Amino acid sequence: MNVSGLVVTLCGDPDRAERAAAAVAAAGPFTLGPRLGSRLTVALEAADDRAGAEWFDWLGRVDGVVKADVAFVHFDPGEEVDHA
Amino acid sequence: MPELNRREFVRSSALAAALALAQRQEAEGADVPPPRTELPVISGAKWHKAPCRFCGTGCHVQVAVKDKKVVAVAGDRQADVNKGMLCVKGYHVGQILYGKDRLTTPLLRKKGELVPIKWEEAIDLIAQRILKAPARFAFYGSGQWTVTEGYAVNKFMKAGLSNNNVEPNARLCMASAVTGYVSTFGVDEPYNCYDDLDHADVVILWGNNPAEMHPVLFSRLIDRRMRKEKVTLIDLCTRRTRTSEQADHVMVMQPQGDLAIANCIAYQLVHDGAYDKAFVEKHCNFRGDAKPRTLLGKPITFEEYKKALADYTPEKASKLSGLSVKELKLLGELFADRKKKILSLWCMGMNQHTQGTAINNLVHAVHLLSGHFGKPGDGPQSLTGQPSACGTVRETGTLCHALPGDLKVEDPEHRKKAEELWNVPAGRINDKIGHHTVLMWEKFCTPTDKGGDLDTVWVQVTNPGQSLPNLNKLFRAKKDLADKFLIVSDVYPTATTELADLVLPSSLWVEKRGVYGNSERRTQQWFEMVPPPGEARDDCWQTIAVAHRLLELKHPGMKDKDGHFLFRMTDDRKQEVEVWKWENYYGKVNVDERLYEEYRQFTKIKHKDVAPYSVLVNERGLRWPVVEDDGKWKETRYRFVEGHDPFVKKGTGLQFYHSVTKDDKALIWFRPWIAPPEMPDRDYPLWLDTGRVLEHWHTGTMTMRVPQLRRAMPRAYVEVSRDDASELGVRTGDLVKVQTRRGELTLPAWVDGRGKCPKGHLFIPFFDESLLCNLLTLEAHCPFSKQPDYKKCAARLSKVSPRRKE
Amino acid sequence: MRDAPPPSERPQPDATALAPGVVRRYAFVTVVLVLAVVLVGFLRGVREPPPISRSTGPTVAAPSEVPTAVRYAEMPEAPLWPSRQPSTLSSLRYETPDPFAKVIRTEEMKLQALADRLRNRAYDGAPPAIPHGVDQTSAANCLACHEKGAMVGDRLAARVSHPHYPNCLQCHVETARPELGGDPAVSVASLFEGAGRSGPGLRAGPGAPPAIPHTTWFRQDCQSCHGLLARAGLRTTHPWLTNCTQCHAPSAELDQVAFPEVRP
Repeated sequence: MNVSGLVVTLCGDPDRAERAAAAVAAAGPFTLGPRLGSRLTVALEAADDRAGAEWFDWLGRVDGVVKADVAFVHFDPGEEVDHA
Repeated sequence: MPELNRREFVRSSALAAALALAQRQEAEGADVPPPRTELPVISGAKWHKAPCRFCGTGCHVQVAVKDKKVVAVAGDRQADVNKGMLCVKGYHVGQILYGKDRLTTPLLRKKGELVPIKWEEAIDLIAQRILKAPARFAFYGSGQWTVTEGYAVNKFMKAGLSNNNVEPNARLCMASAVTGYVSTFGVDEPYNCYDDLDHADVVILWGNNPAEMHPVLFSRLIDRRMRKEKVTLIDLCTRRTRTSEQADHVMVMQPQGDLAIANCIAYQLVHDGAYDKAFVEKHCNFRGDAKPRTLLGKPITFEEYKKALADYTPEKASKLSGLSVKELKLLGELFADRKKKILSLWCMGMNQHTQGTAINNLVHAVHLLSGHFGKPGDGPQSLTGQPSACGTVRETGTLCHALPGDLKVEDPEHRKKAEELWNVPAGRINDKIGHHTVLMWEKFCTPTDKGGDLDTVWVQVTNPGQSLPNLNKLFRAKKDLADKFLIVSDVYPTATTELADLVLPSSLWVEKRGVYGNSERRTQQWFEMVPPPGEARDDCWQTIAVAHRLLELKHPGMKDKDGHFLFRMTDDRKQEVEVWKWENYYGKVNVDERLYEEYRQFTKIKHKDVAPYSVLVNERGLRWPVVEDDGKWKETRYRFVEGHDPFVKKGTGLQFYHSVTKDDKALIWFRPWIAPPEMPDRDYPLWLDTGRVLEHWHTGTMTMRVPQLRRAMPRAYVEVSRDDASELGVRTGDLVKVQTRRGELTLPAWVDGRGKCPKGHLFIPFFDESLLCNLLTLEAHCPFSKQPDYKKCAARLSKVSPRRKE
Repeated sequence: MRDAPPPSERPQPDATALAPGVVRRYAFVTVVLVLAVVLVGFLRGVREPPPISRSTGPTVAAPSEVPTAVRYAEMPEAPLWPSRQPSTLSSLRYETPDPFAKVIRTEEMKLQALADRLRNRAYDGAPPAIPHGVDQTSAANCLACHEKGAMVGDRLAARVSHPHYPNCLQCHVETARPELGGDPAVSVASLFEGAGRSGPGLRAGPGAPPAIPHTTWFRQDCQSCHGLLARAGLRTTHPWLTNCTQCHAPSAELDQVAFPEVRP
């Protein structure tokens, strides 16, 4: 399990921004939070780290998405947290 | 905590954190450009070897190709020249293919505008234009032509059109080195190689700044210091550069002072009896100027030589050169010391010189006279600025007086040999030397009724609209001449395409196959790796296509003695392959290999045997002569030297087997100091020097499109000395105007900039197409090499406005 | 201010020269991340102690205020440290990371770090550009900061990853040239897409140490990117083990030990 909190920055063109927001909402692992102007907050829940990274990459490829910033990451056992 | 609730909680924590960040971002307003998170990976890329596209050093790079694109570059560890190192240009060489404004379709000027046309139309247009007046046509190419591109043009012009108006931009770059070698040793090109850098005790840089111009070679030298080896660097310069910072002795001379310095060294060697008598007796003859002066001069005796040098005592030479008597004596004593290995290096400082041939002769002379010659690390060596100035221009002879293999058009024997190898009828090759570069452009820019006897020029792989001297006269004057037609094959819009009537989009570097030859006689081969963009096509195909169109139009020169097309190529079943059709060009035959192997026959005439193509494929270049010995192809590090050069007779030690005097001896020249044609005076009180910077290569067509390089050096500037700057109240960043008798230029000043000029001296780099320093330079050139002097003219400086407010 | 360049050609700041706003944002993300981990860890029953929170250190001078070296020509008159530039590197407290502190590294952090690396590189393997002005060009000047590497707050002076050569500026050039007033008139539009990372290091199986995915040529010193003074997303989780290639295998192909020739 990998849960992250992301800020998705949408582009300036309202049509494309709406389509992008809709596409993110329609994709399985995202839960949409409040939106501040062009900034959309989302939670991403993925099966594991790799899937999380893939969804993160996917976000970057959505037309109308300028970027996504990571604000929060939750790791579950078996993930890449190393012990000293 | 139940799983569901826990997930709920984590999700809301995630959203809360995201909201907090979003609020923070919102409050801060401006966004930083997003970091790229989706990164193409190198794994899975295919790596191929290629020589670097830029200077004459001839580094090899490894190019990573993925999805038909170059995605990374690495220094080639198997390459002898660079041993895995590169300079900043080399690391970014892959990006030159991807500037956004690549030319992708042929363009014809109609009513002042360049409009797209079809390739067939473009090729036909050129052929018709040539057919109308073959003698009024000229080809202007470059030291960046691949060997086969240059060879094909030379054959097309000299064996096809019987027209010797073929010139390269290398005329502006290393012509004086050629005349220097030819008049000293009877044959062109350095006898030695970069291995000298690993062995020399002392290196003298004659007006040369390798820290910026040949960084990999410079590092190869100074890195030895890291291994605790002692390398003494003597920088003879007219301004301090990055090279000076590493030098043990920085000797700042007056422009043209090099002639006096070399003669003064010779004076001291002779006067003190410190010259190498045994070496001179065995291997050298003396030579001096004839009246009138000629390239080969006349024989003189040792006594005459000694007498001529009398004007160059350290005291007298000090006045001419600006060096102190002490510095001159240091140099004299150095050459008198036979135990030290001395390497002289030079590039544009000695070549772009109105006495370019003379100073080349003199530097060879001090080495021959002192016996500092022929041993690893001990000798004179010229460096070149373009990747194939040697391989293409000098070896395939794309000069108005030359034929492939260092043959000359005026020599009936040479013409005969070339006609035989080309299988064309006797008399096909014109015996009259064509127009050299400066003259070619002067004729093209002169109205036809006023003696301008060229009306069509085809430019390939170079940018004369920026690199010619005195641009107003030699290039821009074309603008108002309706009957002149300029054809330009290039990869990007340039200062030259601005005035072009027809623009052809070309393939670049690893978009095509090629062979280059670097400045230590190393022939290097590579294959195409990525497709050219749009309809861009190889320069060599363009030449062959025009030749074939001329054949169709019944130009008799396009056939050989047997009635075959000049560029006939057949497949395994002896069927002719229509290589003039683009779809066949990379088909059944390797056109590059065929042309190269045909050319290779020429190289055997003057013992410049290049390696077979099939051998080069697996090498990081080989230094000619490459001769088969015991089933292996062996390169030659030192020509004329017994034990290295397979053509040297046993027991001679050193044999100059192409010597001018036909006695296996080299010539020790005396050439006098002669004042430069323009010197600072009351109206134009400053010296103006022009040149290059580390980040950009020549006219910047390629490097100005590489973000990393352009950001590091975005525009031209004029270096002003601290003294001149404070006199004029000029500070770094202020706009100043530089004027000469030929033009003016307003640009930012850089006080003690990249280099540091002495008082009374300015420097402008020439890479910036928006700030053309060649509007200012002088077209005066060496009488023998015809190479112009970009390093010295008279200028004045005035302040225009203070720096733009920060 | 000089004319602002369009965003596409604005020099991209590196972690070593982050604008103050960026520093704040990154620091903020770090703090949020750390807090989140602490929080989640607590809720999950505290599986491991919280990692040491990195302080942002002393106030870091904005790039324009970073002391510039004295020009040669001015050296005779110049004070050792010009008074208008009181903040010198030597007066800053370097952080000395604890090698035994826990290292937290996620895929996201790694990607962030790789993307950050690419801000001043054309592709993975290209020499990084210099995000600060350079007045003195000798290797000694470069090595003053880059020999061992230094980190102040979020500003990182990376340790040199390869043997030292005298001519640093042969490969590393500046990201801007403010001396010449203003930006290039023509944009540097490039369609080049460099390989941003060499690729994930392949593992023989789960838990096996990954192979080195990039060349080690000119990247011999693993500490430069993976050591204690490095981007968080690239740091090794076991800095006390220093013989890296004992477990992580280099690539013969990328190291050019074996290169297949592609054509006959």
